[in-house]
Amino acid sequence: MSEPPVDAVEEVEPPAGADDGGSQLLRSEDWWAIWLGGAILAVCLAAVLLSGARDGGAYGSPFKSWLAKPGSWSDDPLSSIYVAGGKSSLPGMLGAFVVALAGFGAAVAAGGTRFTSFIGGFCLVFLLATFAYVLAEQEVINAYNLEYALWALVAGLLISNTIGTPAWVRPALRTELYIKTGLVLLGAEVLFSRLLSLGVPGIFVAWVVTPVVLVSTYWFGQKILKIASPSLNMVISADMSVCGVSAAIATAAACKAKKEELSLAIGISLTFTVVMMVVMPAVIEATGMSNVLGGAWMGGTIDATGAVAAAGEFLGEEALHVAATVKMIQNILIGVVAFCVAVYWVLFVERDPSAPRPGVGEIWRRFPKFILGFVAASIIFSLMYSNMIDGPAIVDATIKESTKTLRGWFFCLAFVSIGLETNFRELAQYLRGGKPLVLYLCGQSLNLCLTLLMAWLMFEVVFSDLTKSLAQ
Amino acid sequence: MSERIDQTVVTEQRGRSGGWPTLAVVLLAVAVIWGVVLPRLGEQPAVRARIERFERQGIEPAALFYSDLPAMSHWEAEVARARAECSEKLGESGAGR
Repeated sequence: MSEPPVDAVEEVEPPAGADDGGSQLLRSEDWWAIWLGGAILAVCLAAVLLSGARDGGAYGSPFKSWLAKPGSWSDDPLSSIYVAGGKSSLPGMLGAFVVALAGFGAAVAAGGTRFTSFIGGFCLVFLLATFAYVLAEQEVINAYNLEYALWALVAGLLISNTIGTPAWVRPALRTELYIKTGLVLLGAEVLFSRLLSLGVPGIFVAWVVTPVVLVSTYWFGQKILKIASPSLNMVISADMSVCGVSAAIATAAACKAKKEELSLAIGISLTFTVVMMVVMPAVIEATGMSNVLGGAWMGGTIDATGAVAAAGEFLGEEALHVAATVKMIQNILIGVVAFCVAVYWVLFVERDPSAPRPGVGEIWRRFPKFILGFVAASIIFSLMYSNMIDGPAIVDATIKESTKTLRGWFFCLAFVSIGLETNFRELAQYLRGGKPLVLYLCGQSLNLCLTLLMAWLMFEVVFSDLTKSLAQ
Repeated sequence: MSERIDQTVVTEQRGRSGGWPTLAVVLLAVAVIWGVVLPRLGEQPAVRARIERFERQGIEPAALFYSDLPAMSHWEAEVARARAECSEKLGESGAGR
């Protein structure tokens, strides 16, 4: 296959030095992620509000049937997409495709890439994302937490490491744009009122232990293991201590991690998640630990949100409720973690030690702007959820029936893009010496000990009455 | 910056192993695993029971975020009920003293 020269497809991004404010607002992917994410949130929210409350006071989104991902299937993969005479995902998938093509197409065109050269590649990336979703939605695969991020990476890696990624696809490999836009949408799901769902014990287990583990693991990686890449260290530390793939995505974008580093962190996390979701309930049962304590322990330590619920269910309803609620409270932490990591990176990691302290202008230039969109979406939707009449119903309808689906597609497109840009040899070099694995194992061991200690203190000693009520 | 997530210039892919024949073999393996092996595994009583339990409870084991769990609001309500009960009991025992 004859390929055009690489420079024919490269994106035109303004050089770092040429920080012309107006140009950046219109051309940089960080700002486009904010515009796109903000526009999608605004349109979806307006649609719910304009539709008004239905009978019984429930709200719904008119976009629900026009935005979908492939559905669950058992033995016929086609039924994931198309069901004759039944509920088919196809119109919703086409709707998501049109929204993504139009939005991202406008962004890349503003960045200097021809829209026509973006379309072909985007179709293939979207097709591979669909393939990844179909693989992930097989019910056995789904039941063991082997989520779409993994299959999207694999689908991309398969192409790039066999026939090679065709040059015409490259204008559509916009990992940063897809991830950051998805993160702005995810911001709307970070609702601070949920922080108090479990009261003081939940805060202590999820918001006190988690940052301690995150900082200790990062310090251990830098000072003891001497991991060469601080961003790899941070992404592994965050995905292990906070909430798996979603935390890895947010911190990777905040500390500008390499795509291979994000892939590696997710691979390690998913592998250990599968092990922990099977082993932890067995250990809790074998030791005779109470279900509430066991649930809190699993909620604070198993990386992936879905795996926490699955493991909690194995022990019983009360363990499921506590585990999922602790994990939900921990999920909310990713906004704070992403913001703090971005600030820390700009102020300390990227700073030249011999140079004077960077001024406000320099900090602003380096700061990943999409974080502002992520935080703003979180604050606005949290305020609406808590203060608006029918706020919870309106916010839930907006997220669950429209933006959540698009967020999933955008992350899936990002992981396909990462796979298409990654070579196995590049990925393998990060595992050399086994330091990332040692970091994960040591950090997770600390996490298991500290979380168990804190959960025991909170649920068995200080708030034992709450434990009795939860167990009833 | 060129290798970072926010990279915008895509580098040429290196190192391809096998090309089309390898891709065909892997796709065939995927078809066999997802088309034959996994559906059969899903029919095993233990696996089937697990899948059905998850469906019944509204658990999405591959959820990325809490908002991906269909029954999260229900579980949150159960926890809130237990907290309210606990506060009530503490209030009663405080008033009785």
